[in-house]
Amino acid sequence: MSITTENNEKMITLMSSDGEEFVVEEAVAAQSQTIKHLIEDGCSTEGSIPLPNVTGRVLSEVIQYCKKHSSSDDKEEKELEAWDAEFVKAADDHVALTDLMMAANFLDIKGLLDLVAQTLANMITGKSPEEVRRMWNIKNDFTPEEAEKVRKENQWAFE
Amino acid sequence: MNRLSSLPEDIVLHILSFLLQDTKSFVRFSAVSRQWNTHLESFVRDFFFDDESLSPSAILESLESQYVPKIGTFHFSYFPEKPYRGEETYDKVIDFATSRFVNNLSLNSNHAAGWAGGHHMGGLACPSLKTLRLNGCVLGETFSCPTVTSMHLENCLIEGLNLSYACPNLKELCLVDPNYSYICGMIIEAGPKLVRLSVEYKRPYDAFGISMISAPGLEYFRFVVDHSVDMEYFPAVDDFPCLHTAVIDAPIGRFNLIKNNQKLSKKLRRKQERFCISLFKLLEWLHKAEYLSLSPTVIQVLSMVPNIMERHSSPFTRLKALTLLENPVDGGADFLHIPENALCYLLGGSTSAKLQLPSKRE
Repeated sequence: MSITTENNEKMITLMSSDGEEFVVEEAVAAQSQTIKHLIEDGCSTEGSIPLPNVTGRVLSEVIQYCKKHSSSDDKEEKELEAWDAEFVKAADDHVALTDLMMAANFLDIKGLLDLVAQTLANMITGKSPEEVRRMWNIKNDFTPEEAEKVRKENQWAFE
Repeated sequence: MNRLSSLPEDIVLHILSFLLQDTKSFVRFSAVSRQWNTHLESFVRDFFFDDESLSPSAILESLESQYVPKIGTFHFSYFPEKPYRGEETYDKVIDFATSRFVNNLSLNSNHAAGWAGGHHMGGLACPSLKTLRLNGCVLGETFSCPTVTSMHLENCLIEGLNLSYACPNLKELCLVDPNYSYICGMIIEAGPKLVRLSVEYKRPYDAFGISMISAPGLEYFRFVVDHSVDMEYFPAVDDFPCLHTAVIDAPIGRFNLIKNNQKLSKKLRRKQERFCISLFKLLEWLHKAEYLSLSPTVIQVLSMVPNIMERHSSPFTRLKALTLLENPVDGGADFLHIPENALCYLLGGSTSAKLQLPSKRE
């Protein structure tokens, strides 16, 4: 538990699933609850922290987000919101966003998770069930009877 | 590769929870897959406000602070201290429920002042609304609910309402102690989709309310009067061309006592006659019924006027079965014997009609 008394400039090395290493300030990395717990458990003392579920490409984006959010305080909320909007815009499509979502989930970064979830939700608002299925390659596992029943019960939402 | 289903379930749920403000998209996605359907169902909320100690303003405040995307059932009971004082509260509550696409709405505004102070219902244009239960409300020309399929109206004032326009999709209607205006009486004019109608009188007074019923698609008609109610008239019904089953559970109330006493005043004798004649009329209006269920008291009323009964030929030409209901007050045992002329009147019109008696109680 000595970690909380150390200063913010202590550096941590994170290693992505494809072997890329990232050296970041501990305060930045600790935005991730998962990494924070690993640090608390003493995993950071022996070289780098391996993150087997996150690729280097995605991890660099996540670190970008964490850096921005660890350096900003509440006064800059508006500016931070604008930055967030640009950040998800840069992530481009729903495949990249889904990857980011999975990383945010694994690393347990609530702010990023909510940001990406909101963006994904905005992308599917107003779409038909077919479009959503195509977008995420979801199988329609309803029987024709069930599909008809669901549609009939909520007919008003389809009009 | 299915990107989304590679996400853990709680993540999918999390994404969907951001859709909550757009209820239409939210509901539409229940058709995407079973997994999504289950997720979305978990957001649907029900509300029951039946506690009179809660102030309406506190209820509204707590409702508005909640994040509710979709309401299944919403029940709200509120009795303002003085008539006409609660309109704003009711309107706000109804707005809350309809804007969140409620399926079943139930309002109870019945109080000591009776229907006089009940909530005046306006138009309910909520596409998801399927069932409506109202107690002590006023339904006039301004009321309409185009999507409702089942309605239960208890102690409501019904005035100048044309159901075939106001609720064209109504399939099932139950009227309990309907109130009416003395000026125009009460006319129930239903559209062709109405298949089930039940009229019940429980209040020990003023049982005569409906002056006319018209329902061209009606298949099931049930008419129930509590034993403490004196029926003087039955409602006049338009021909029910599609009628399949009719149930009349009406007691004889004080007429029974009058008969036992044998000493009838002229006034009471006239009342008794009116009652008998309107019962005969009702039975004639129900002549298309294939299945008829009567309480033993109805048969007793018929046999009180044997000369009228013997003059009429049986109206039931399509009857398949006549069932005798159990009489909850008198036990029915005394009435199990049906006089020959009553049998002839009820069953004589159809060759295939059968009589079914209630099973004897231990």
